[in-house]
Formats: sequence, structure tokens, C-alpha cells
Amino acid sequence: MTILECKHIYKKFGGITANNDVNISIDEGEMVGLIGPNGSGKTTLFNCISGVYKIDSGEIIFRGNAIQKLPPHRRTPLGIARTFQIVRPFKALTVLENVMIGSLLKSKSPLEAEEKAREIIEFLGMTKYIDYTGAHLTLAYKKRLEIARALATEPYILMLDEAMAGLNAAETKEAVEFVRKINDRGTSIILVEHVMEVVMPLSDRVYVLENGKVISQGLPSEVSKDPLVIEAYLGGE
Amino acid sequence: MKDNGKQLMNDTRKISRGMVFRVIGGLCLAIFLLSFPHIFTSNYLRNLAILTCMWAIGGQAWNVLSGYGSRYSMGHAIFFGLGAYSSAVLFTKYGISPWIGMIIGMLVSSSISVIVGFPTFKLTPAYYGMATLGFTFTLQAVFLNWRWVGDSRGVFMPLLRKSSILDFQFANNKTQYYYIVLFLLVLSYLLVYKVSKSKLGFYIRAMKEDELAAQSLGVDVMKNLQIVGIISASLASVAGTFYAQYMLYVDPMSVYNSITSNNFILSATLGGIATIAGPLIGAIIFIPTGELIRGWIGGSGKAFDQMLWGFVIILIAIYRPSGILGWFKEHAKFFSGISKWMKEPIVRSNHDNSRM
Repeated sequence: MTILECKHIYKKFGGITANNDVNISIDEGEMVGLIGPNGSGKTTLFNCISGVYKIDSGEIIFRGNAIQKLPPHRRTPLGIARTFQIVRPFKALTVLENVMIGSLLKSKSPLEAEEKAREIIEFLGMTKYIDYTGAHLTLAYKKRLEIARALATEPYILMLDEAMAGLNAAETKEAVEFVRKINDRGTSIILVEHVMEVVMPLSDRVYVLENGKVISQGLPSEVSKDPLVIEAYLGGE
Repeated sequence: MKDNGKQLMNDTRKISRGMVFRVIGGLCLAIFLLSFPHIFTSNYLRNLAILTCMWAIGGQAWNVLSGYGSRYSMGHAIFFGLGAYSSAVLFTKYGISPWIGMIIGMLVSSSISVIVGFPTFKLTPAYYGMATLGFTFTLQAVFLNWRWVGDSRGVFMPLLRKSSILDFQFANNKTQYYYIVLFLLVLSYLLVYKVSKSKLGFYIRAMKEDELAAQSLGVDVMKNLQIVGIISASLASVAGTFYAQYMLYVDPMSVYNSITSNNFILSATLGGIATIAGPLIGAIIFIPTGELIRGWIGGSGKAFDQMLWGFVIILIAIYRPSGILGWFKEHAKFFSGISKWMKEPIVRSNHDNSRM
């Protein structure tokens, strides 16, 4: 069943068309990779789906409802959660409180939210750092905290914006593992990365963007052989 | 039965030194506060205590929006003034009890807070400050020229020469005023404590850190700011109503004034922003000292305390933005020996031994 569908999305910034007739769809429980060179419009598309940007034209359909007119804070309760490319933890709040901000959304009391938050923190293996403030974590854990926070809103679809950029090999491996674990629980995931090596083994399907357009889509194995994609990444003649 | 016994043991084990100290300290403080006007019978000291409590309520009002929340108001005098005028005008013109005037003042302040908040909450914190500061003087000009509320002459409350709770007037004695302001103080601090532990409290702390991130977690930033603004404005308005009924006189120059707002800001920042006790501690330090300095220099040196406090604000902003309570928190390590000793349980059960 299709859970999220973006139809003919256009987004312009001045003279630059960041998203030019983008069509993507995600099924329930699917892990979809969104790749492309820098400046190809991946993050813009994220911001359009999560509501940070208003799209110029097109339609975003989430579980049967058109959501393109809703502000971001009305989209999250429906079941869309995201992380940010440049991490934005609440620096003065502890890890527990950070995650609680997310879990409060669907809890009646802070007490219930705390319980849920503790569960998620344990699920992502951060119990050791539960009392650390957001400012005192390493980059890898800041990114993980963002995922925990987003996951705490109990989303149907989780959008990870370069959740693995800037991590070392061991940290990346761990991250890949728990992203898979989250997906196994039934949450659909959109993964933005510009590192092909991370996306390809993880994703069920891949979309490739270049200059705001989807130039290729399909199984990872097919996409990586597409001459258009190779040209986009390695440059033409 | 056996289970019950075990439960009881677990509970008694939780009684730590700190809890005992807190209970005893709380009781001592309560007794001291309640007996204050009987220990200190001089009206000067009672007056100081009353003013301190009044500004502490205002400081807490400011603290809700600008300490816990993320909009630095420089114009809480707006709500203080509206509260003062609401009850004063209703009482003198229509004989309506100031208590009802207090509630109407809260409603008026809340509505003004929502109306002002609509365009200004979208601004960054510093510009919100400018906007509220500007609005203070707009209101000052309006009230200076508004005949119905007594224009520049202000409103004089009629002297009843008899004590009446309903009319908020007590002849010859400040004791009753003290108890009323203490009651309002406790009530407002309990309210803020409740808010700080609630969903709203968590959300405003998150919003203060990062509004975009909070929004992405489903937090409605504008709605929460408005709610916080309403709470804050209502509290400031209560302080204003008390001011009017205590002074028995209101005029635009004395309430719609940046000095009023600064008193709020200073008590909160001096004590420690985003803490419950902060505004009270700040007010206890700076209201009496301010009065003493004024009395000491007197005459031509009237504004000296204002200059001094301006200087103190600069020092706090540069060296200790978290205030006095913040200093304790930052030096938590230094106090950790004490806090460890405090946390140690007094009653040990056999359970403990097995754990060790």
C-alpha cells in the first residue's frame, strides 16, 4: 500500500528550480533511498514533504490525504517525522528530555512520555548517555538522538537527512544496523545520502535526483548501472 | 502481609537527610513568612516585604515568557498597568470589587497579550523586546490623554476608612495586605511550578532551544507561545491590581514605564531565569536594597538606585547570565559533597546491606 506519494512537485528559489516535476512514492514498510550529487534538491524535497517549505505546485498525498497545505507541526502528528542534515538537538536538555519532546506528542502526561522515551533510548542503545545534555554528545550520538526524537513521535514514515554523513566507518556500521532495525519494526524510511555505498545495500528502491529532477529510479542494482546516473556522479565527457 | 512489610521498608529507606532538611526548612520558612508582620511590627519593614512579594510576582510573570519561554519582553509594564487600571477604574467608577477587577484585568491583559503576540511573536526575541517596549509608551500616551481613565491625573481610590476584604482596603494596618500578597505569591509560584512540569513546560523549553526542531516534532510554536503569553500577562496583571489597591493611586507615568518592566526583568535575572525560586530571590535582594539606597541618598540622588541596577544588569549579562541560582547549579561539583551527604538515607534496611 502506498503511504506517501509526491506528484509533480515544483519548488523554485528565485531563478533556480530546486525541485522540477518530482514524482516519488513510498510503500508501507519500505526503505527508499534518495541520492544525487550536492545541490540536486534532495534536502529541498525533504523540506517540502515535512512542510518547512511550501511547494509552488504539485500534490503531496500521505495516507490518502493531501497535506501540502499543512504547516510542519500539523504534519508530524499524522505520522511524518524527520531529522535534520545539520543536527539540531535541544542543547540544554538531557537526552531523555530531548526524546520526551517527541514522545509527548502522542502521550497524555509527561510521565507516560518519559516511559516511552526510555524505551526508545534503550532501543537505540543510548541508555548510557540518558542524562547527558544534547550539547555534550559526539556527532554520532547527536545524530542518533535526532533519530530517537523523531521516532518518539511514532511516525509511519521516517525521513533521515544524511543520518550517516560525517561518521567514521564503525559508527556508520552501527547506524546502518539500527536504521535497519527501525525499518524492521514496520516504519517506512526515506534515506537521503550522497554516499552511494551506504544507500545501495540498505534500500529497497532508489531514486536518483539531479538538478531537481528524478533521472532514474528502481532497484539499487539497476540504478547503479544506469548510464545517466553514472554520468551524473562521474561527470559526462 | 509480608509484602506490605517489605513495601514499608522500601519506603522508609527512601527518607534521606535532604528530605528531612527540606521539610524542616519548608516549615521554618512557612512559619517565618506567616509570622513576619508580627515579628516586625514597623510599617516600613512590612511595606518592604509587601513590595518585595509584589515585584516577585511580576518577576515570575516575566520569567514564564522570557525565562522559560523564548521571547524577551521589555514591556511587561503593559500588563501590570492594565491590571492596575482595570481594578482601579471599575472600583472608583462602578464600585465593583477589586477582586472581580483583578479577574477582569487578567482577561484584558490576556487579550492584549494575544493581540500583541500575533504579529510580534513571529519576530526574533530581541525584536519582540523592542516591540513591547514601544507598546508600553504607546499605552502611556493613550492613558495620559484618555479622559475616562483620569488622563494624566490618574485614578485616586476613595478612602473607605474601614477594613473590608471585599473592597481590598484595610485601614491603619499593613498586615492584611501582607497576607494577601503572600497568598497571591504562593498561588502564582505554584501555578508556574505546575506549568514547568507539564507538557507545555517541556515544549517551551524545547522551543527556546530550537523552534524549527520543535516544530518538526509536532510542537505548535505559535499556539504555545500564546498560551505562555497569556499566563505571563495574567500574573503581571495580578501584581498590577495589587499595586493599585495597595497604593490607592494609579497614574500612567508610574505604571506604563520601563522602570516597572525593569523591576520584573531584574528580579528574575538576578535570581536566575527559568527557575521557580529565582524571581523571589532576586526580588528579596534588590527591592529592599533599592529602597535603602533611595532612603540613604535621598533628595537629588533619587535615580541613583536605577543607575546602580542598570550597571548590575550589564554585569549579570556579561558574567552570570544564569543568575544567582545558576551559580549554584554551575558549581554543583563544589556542593556535591553536601548533596551526597543530604541524599544518604537515614533509615537503613537489610536490603541495603545485601546490595553493598
